[in-house]
Amino acid sequence: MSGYNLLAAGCSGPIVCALSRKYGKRPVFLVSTLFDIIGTAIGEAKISYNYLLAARIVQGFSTSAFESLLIASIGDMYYVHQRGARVSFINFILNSASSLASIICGQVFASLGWLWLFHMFQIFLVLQFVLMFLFCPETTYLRDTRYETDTIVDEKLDELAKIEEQHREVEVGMEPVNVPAKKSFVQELAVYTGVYSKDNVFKFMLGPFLTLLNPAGCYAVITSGLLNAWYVGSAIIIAGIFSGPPWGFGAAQIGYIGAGPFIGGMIGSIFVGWFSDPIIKYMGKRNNGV
Amino acid sequence: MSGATVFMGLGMFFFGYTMAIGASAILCAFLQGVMMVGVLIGIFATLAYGLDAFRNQSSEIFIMNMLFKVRPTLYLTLFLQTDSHTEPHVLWPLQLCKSLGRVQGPGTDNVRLWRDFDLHGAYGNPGVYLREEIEELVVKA
Repeated sequence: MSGYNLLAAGCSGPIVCALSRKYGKRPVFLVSTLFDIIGTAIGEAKISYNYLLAARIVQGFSTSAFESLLIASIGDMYYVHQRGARVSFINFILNSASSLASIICGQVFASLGWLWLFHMFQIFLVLQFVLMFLFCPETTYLRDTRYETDTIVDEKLDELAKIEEQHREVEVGMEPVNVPAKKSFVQELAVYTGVYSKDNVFKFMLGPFLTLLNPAGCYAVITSGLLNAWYVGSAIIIAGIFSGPPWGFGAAQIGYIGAGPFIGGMIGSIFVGWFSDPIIKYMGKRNNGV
Repeated sequence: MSGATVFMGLGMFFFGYTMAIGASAILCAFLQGVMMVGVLIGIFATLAYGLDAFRNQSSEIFIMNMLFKVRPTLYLTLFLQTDSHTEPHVLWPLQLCKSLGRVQGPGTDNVRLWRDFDLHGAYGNPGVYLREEIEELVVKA
């Protein structure tokens, strides 16, 4: 059952990546939430293995955006020295807070039954869709390559300073030009905000696989993927192990086992969230601002 | 990553061991929590690196990260379910170390490939140089 869910998540990954690069992240997030709502609706329709399987597969299509693009959107919104706390918080929610869900779900399953897991999830999903539509504007933007000082080798800072100085002199006593006006709340509600790249969508679909040819990117992908896989793999079998002898636990008791990784994940997240940004600043100063 | 290795290694080893001997569930949960501390630190370190070093390519990296997670998860689940649960406490840390060790292997050929086809330029990433090229540049400077 989990395998089919993961398979759907994996298959939709390159498509999600391509569409987010081409049309931005907001429409992808909204469509992914819709898939989750549809999948959950299938699951809450009937107690049946086939319905549950169909629900998990449709829900799987929504997973990619929230497991990957969410972290990428931090890069759109925050500077390098501000990302540590945000990345650690999202990591905590994605990896560790799911253990808290097992405690709650164990109780719901034991007290109210299988269908109520989907009913309650649906309530939160619809709420999430509404909040996301209203308060999550598009974060993708096209930045002048001169300002990519954190990712380019030849920074041309002198040229940048000269242009900014000229720009400042022109702007004295008049309204700033070439600065896009801040969007109103209604404008930010737009689902389609234009095309962010002229390249073909199919080219972007190959992008994730191309990262494996980049040694540094490959290292990040495989290391974090393996760490994650080991935890998820061991978490999946816990129900099977603790339901057998010598424990013989029920669904609610197995759910309580999730308290361990939840608290452990919280400690780990607080640790990296607290220390990462100061360390980045310290290392940056030590390396003469680079 | 050293912190991640310590917590993950200790947590995984003793988590598997306590389950194998049928120890208290509270102790098992605690040790799974220790493992989770290591997982969170390790994932944070690698994801933050990916985001900072390759911001323009971060969507692709995180999608691939998710794709990569899927396959080992399926294999691991099958492995852990089919093997006797007296074995994992020895195999889990060893398998993980073996897997992570393999990651360090590839390098030179890929660096050349990326540079020859200007793939970094296509994604707006900083260039990657081989050690001898860096030394050459330093000597020239």
